Amino acid sequence: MASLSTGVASMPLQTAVEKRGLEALRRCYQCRKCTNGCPLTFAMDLMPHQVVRAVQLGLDQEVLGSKTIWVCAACQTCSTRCPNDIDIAHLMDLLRQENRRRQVEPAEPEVVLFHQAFLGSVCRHGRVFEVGMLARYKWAALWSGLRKGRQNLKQFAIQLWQDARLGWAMFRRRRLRIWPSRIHAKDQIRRMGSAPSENLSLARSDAGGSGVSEISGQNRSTSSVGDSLADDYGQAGGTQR
Amino acid sequence: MIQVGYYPGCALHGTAAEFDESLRAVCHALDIRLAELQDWNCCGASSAHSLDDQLAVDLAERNLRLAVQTGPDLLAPCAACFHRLKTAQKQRPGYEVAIWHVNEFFSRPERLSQLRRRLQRPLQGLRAVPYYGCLTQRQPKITDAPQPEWPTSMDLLMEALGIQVRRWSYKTDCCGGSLEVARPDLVEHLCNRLVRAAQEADADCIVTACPMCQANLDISQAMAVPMAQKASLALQSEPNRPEGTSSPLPSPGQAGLSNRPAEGATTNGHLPVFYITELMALALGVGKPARWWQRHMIDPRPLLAQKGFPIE
Repeated sequence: MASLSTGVASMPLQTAVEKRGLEALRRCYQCRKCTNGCPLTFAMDLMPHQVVRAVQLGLDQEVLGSKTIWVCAACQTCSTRCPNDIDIAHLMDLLRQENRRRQVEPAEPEVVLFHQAFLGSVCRHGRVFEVGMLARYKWAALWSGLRKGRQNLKQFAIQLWQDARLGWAMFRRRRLRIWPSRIHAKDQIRRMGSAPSENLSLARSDAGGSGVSEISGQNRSTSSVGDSLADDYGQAGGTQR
Repeated sequence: MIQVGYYPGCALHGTAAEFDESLRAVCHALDIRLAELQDWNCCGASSAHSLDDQLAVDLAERNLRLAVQTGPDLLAPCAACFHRLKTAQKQRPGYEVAIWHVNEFFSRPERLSQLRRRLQRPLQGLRAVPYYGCLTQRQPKITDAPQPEWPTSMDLLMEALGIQVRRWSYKTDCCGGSLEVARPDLVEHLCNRLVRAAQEADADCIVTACPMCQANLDISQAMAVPMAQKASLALQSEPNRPEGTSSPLPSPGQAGLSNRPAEGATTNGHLPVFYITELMALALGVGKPARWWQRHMIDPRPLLAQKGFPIE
């Protein structure tokens, strides 16, 4: 059974999340309170209570390949209402991280690209620079969509037009900064990005250097989705140093 | 004059500058000195905890270290920042600083009475729903929110300003947060539901204290206009349509879904989305509200003018 993917994966998903503070997972008695309160079930393929059960059953591939883990907006309603005190929102975080660590193709590649663009911006400036982050994200998302056939040229053009319209509307109202707001202690932030954390240690050990290139290294080693973005980061990291 | 540490966060330095400006104006009027943390960094928001637990806490922790040097109180107006800072404080104990969110900070009894005393222009006639969103409330283990399912702090503030608070059951429902960038379709779905519920509650506007909630509700309504156009285009291209039938597709944000007749073409059925601090500043008669209104995607000036408040 292909419950474990190739490469880094070594321990069952349940053990992995229990080791990181979710021992309570075993207490779930499938009352579905999490699912009933979840505002995003309409876009999920596995309901939150099913995710918990699937992890218990060792259906690792199904969980890590699901849309659910990326569509979760981290609103924390499930964790707040769980009668067994299972932090389901944190479970979703851990599953997202395991998805990246085990190099499973994400079901919602755009969400991953957004998070990577966001953290790239934080590592580069110490704060988020929306315009730069959005431009990088858009470019990466459009490029990966085109390459994977998730999008054709016409959709590409329509989306570009809509983004331009929104961008202009926001720019006109001075809601977007033109220049990044940079902090002085950028090196501290980059060091955080490169600290050997359990989660990204593999990607990091072969990247080395600043936080910017760490994240690009992670992209390069994890999935083809992030390739173009990784190159962007690589260049940006190079010019920064 | 009391001093409070201030962590604005990236949003208040960018997309939500009107939240920052109005908060500063309000604090100035109430004799509160905001001491912005020196060289603060991004809290990591939802991206950091999605991809790397440790980075998420490290980023927030650096700001806690700065906050401890600044003073015993820290005001973090952005809900996402507030949540990340509180999370870091719970996970890495030892940072003795009280982290405040705008609603809780200003709704303490002594602040409320101070606010009432300084009121220049009560916002009588404005009907609004309070929208708290997720991250100032949940999980209570992290936020220390006393009533996570039915918060009342912003209700108290709004009542103190003279606003008529409308009851609705969507106070803490999710707007979709950072999914706005990668999956705007999901955010639009969630926000349409919220706006519709606010209209059904007979509100003129929505009041929030979270930059993500404000942006999502504001943008999703503003960008819904082409949807209405799309619907009308689709109807025009239907040649065999029986005469006399009206549009089967009431577009979101249109008055058809409200109990109330359309409030004139000026607001187009859309509800302006205010930061609580903008309304506080307006009621206190401080700051430069005209600059803030310009930044809204759904222009609040027609509504304010209709209610008899100055808009310049």
